[in-house]
Amino acid sequence: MNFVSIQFICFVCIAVLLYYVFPPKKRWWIILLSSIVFYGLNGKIYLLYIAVTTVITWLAARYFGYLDFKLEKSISGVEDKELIARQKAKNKRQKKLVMLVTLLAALGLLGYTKYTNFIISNINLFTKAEFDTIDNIIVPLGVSFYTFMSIGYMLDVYWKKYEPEKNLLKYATFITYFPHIVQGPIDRYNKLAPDIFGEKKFDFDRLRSGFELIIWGFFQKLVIANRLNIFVDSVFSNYEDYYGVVWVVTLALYSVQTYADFSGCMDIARGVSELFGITLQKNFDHPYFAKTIPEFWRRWHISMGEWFKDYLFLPISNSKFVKKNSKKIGKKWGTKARRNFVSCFPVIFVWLATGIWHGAGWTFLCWGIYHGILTTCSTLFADQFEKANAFLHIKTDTFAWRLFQMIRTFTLCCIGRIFFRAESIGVALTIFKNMFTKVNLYMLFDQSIYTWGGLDRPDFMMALISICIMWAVSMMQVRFSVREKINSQNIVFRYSILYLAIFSVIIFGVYGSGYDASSFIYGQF
Amino acid sequence: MLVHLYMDNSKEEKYMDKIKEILSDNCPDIELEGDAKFITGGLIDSVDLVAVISDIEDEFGIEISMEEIVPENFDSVDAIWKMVQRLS
Repeated sequence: MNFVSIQFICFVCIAVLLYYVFPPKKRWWIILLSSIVFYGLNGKIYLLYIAVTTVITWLAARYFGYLDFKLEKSISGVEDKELIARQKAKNKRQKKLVMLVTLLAALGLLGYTKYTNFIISNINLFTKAEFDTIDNIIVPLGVSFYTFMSIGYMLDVYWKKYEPEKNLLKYATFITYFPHIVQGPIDRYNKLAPDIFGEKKFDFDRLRSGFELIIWGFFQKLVIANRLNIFVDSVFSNYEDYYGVVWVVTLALYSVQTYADFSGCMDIARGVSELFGITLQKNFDHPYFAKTIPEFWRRWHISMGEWFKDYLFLPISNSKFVKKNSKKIGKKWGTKARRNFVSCFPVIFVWLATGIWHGAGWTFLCWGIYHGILTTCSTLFADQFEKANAFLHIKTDTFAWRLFQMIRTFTLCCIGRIFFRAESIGVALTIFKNMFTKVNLYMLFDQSIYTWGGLDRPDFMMALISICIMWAVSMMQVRFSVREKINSQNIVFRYSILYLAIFSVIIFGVYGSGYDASSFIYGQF
Repeated sequence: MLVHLYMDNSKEEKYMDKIKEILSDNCPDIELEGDAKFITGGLIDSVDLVAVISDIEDEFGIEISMEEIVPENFDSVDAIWKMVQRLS
């Protein structure tokens, strides 16, 4: 069952109805039940995978809680500092062992489902071995998302950031919560749990607001992303036939499609969650308004960026290896070199992991490396960029400069998307070559644009108009809450906007052949 | 340099100034006076934070473990100072 389906709409209606019929204290049971039903309907076997990850991380966290309690008990009132230190060291050893085993098990399951065939085919490629790939590996829906959420929870408890959850069913409710299981956001237990398990009164305004967000999500997905997908898919399928400006337009449209697709899904997820009175973390903050690549990544897929920051970047930068070597570097090359090492060395791992998290393929790895290089350069050469601006007498506090920075960031993202979308590195390089080997700007004006990608003139115009609407809404969102603004108007205006949005989705949404409505770009991760 | 829990005001001020100096070195644009929250207010990003942690560890001879790397411990000069005292 996909977010964009009649079945899903009916499913949500029933779940919301049951939710508010149930007594407030027990409403989370409905969340758990509906999440299991949603997940089970997508594939019964998926339930087994998610159950394993949920149970092992919950058990590990409970064990950490038990060990910490035992430690507190054993050292309370003890004066002997050596004994306390010994007990603490023992506690640390025991916890570390369980943490590593659980981490390996959870990541092993993720790795097995997503990367087995990738690993086998690369072993075959590099060693001339002839291992058979496994045809029937099941990739559970949202496996990357729920694995990261469970690992995050376990590590938080391991680092004593909060107490472990005693009730397995409550923890399972958080992990399986159906609005965030398909494409995130990658929520944190301590932030979402109070919202899920807190008592809530029926709030019609909130319900309406959630509904509006869902409609806006459908608009982005069905009217923009699915329409652009026809164009983008057609050009990428015949990549050898297109050159120059065709690729410039296609990559720009693909970047918009990816955003509309992912952001649309997030808005549907957040809207559905609001129907239950539960606020999901915001996953986007107008990324294409970012002025630098690091800023782009603070605005795009925010929950993933924060996850990598907290559970990969910080642990690596705080590791003994980095600390030891940073001191050596500091002694040899000075403070600045040390700082650069401490900040940039972990970034390499973060971007390799980000790349491979998105998919089992060298193209994703290249895409990760590309963004890693951009991010690292941005940190390493920040002073030089500033000096260059001063040398060239660039006024950096002007609108024109900010606009240039935004266009520059968008362009860099578009180039990276060649790797993200291409089937192989060879295809990506061909596209890259084709983009620069012909100057054919005239093609923008000779009406041929309507023949490149299967979008005729009305459809292409519709795509452009809807992109303008999305851009205008984004501009407004930067300044104020659009939903609050609409809801503060009189009833006629309010409902006119709502019906206009609903009918736009129904009339202009792309439901026909040529695309798979069940697939969101980020759903595959 | 080891920080002792019991110290006179002048020493405390000296250490607080040292923390401010570390923050200014790593995050030149940061406003140290006032109520601004460094982490939750988005004034220090993760890259700057690791540099700040590294400098604090060197300066005060302490080890900041992952358990301590939470926004509450780095949101203000006072919060950092309290953490340093606790870990000394």
